[in-house]
Amino acid sequence: MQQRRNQTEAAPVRDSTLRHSAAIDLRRYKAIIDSTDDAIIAKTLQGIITSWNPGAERMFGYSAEETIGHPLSMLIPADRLTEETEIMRRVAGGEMVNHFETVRRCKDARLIDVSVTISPIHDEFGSVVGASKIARDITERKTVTADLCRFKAIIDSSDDAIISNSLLGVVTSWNRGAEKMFGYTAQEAIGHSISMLIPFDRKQEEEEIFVRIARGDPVEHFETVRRGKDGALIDISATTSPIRDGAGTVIGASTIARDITERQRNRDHVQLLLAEVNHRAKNLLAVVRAVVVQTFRLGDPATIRDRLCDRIGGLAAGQDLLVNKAWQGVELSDLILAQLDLFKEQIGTRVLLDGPSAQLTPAASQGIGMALHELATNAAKYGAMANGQGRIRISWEVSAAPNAVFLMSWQEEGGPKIAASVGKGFGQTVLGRMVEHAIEGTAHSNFAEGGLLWRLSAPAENVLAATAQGL
Amino acid sequence: MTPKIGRTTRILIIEDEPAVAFCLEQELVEAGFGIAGVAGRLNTALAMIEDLTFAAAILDANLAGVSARAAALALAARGLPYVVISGYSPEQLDLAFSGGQYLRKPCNVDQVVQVLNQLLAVDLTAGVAPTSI
Repeated sequence: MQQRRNQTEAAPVRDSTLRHSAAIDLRRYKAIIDSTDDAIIAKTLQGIITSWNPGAERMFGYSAEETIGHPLSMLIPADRLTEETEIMRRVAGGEMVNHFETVRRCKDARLIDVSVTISPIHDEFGSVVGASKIARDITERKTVTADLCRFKAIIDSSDDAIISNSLLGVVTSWNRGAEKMFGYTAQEAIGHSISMLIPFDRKQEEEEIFVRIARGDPVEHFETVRRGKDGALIDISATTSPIRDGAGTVIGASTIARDITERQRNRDHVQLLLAEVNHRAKNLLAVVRAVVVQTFRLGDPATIRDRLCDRIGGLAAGQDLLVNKAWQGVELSDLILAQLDLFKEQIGTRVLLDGPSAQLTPAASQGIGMALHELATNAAKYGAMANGQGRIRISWEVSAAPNAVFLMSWQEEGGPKIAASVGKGFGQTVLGRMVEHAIEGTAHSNFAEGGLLWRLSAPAENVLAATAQGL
Repeated sequence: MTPKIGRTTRILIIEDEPAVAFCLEQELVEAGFGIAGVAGRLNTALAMIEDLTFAAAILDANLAGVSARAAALALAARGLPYVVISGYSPEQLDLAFSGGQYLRKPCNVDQVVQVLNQLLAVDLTAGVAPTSI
């Protein structure tokens, strides 16, 4: 500047040309400054505003009249004032501060995010006399960035696979859910064809989805199968939507897929349970039918009715125990207590139970349960419980492995003398062949002087539930 | 109720439920059949299919929680007709049982006798193993 000034003095002829050119430059700069959307502000080193362009008016809401001659601190939130002091210290030292992101306050007290570039203004002697500031409103950019971060966090934290691909089927994004579900990392998947996930027999289906997406139609909650990196097939429910560019043209597809293997497994399990319920309910009805047919052989209607109700009640009690233990097995002492409900008051006094914990298989508990029911009914009518002083001792044991044997006995004593007819008919079959059939064992009934002795023995593996066999 | 084949026609009963097996045995005897054996477990059933002489079998599809599939296949391999009596619906049954005549459990002895007579009549007159319908 100094040099030019000297030149001007030395060459007065060119003076007007130079002045003319400087004036054009000035006008050009002013036009640029007036037309930009950025706020361009000049201030003194003391922080007094000396110029204020229309961009600044639009950004901060103050007119030039309201700001020129006033301190710039009017724009600075209280918690940012030290930051401004530091910047001014650097600018006073001749330094330029580039793209400094901060917050400024508008006339309406609204806070906006700005990116500021501050340059020193030199006087003709090269001393710093002020600062020019160019501020750009980045609120929108910040909002978009924050939104993007939020969306990215949501996508990253989802257990669903969220994938995008181009219309050519090239994977363009791949979240952590997709990594977990399909086994490919984002690095392995992005840039490769989405067809790597599609089992051979599903290619046709994928083409149909592609046609719909290209047409702009989403495909929602579509249940299908995909192949993971390890080759395993995964049941998924997927929703695929078209991705459009700014002009609305479909440029790709986004897919959200949920692993429904578990759901599918649950569905299969429900089917299995229904089949089991069907099987077991009809089995029980078959047993009831057999009991009815056998009980009717008694002949006398009143006796038939009583015994029938008794026996069906016994079956129901056994059923409760099985269901309570999820059909896995029944504790023998529980089974005895359930079938001896008739004289539960005497348990521990006239009726003694003696044996280790033993989990019976469902088949054994049914066979032994029916036998116990017959024994209890007989004892109440004709045996040890038919008078006031008879006793019953029920004991069982399991011999040591290998070839463990289950032994059980029902010993009555002190009852009335047993009539010869007792123990014939279906009751005797239940105590003999039927329980033998249930556990492939042997049963003996002995009507001794003091009362009935019933003994049962069978291989322990036929009687005890698998989980209890190690005991 | 009288079987057309004669009093000596022997049936193998494969049924795990003692009451049902016993009742079936008694009713079939009353209907004039002979009983070759009664099995309640798969191993026993397979041994009896192998060792015993009988004209037809009655097969429960589930033996003490185990599928009787192997017994169905063994019967088919010997060319012996059988009735599947099951609480499962036909759709819930393994395909291995499709060689037998299905009866829903519980069923009356009249139905069992009728199906046995059909199976045995086809078996004796045509000399071929019956197939499922």
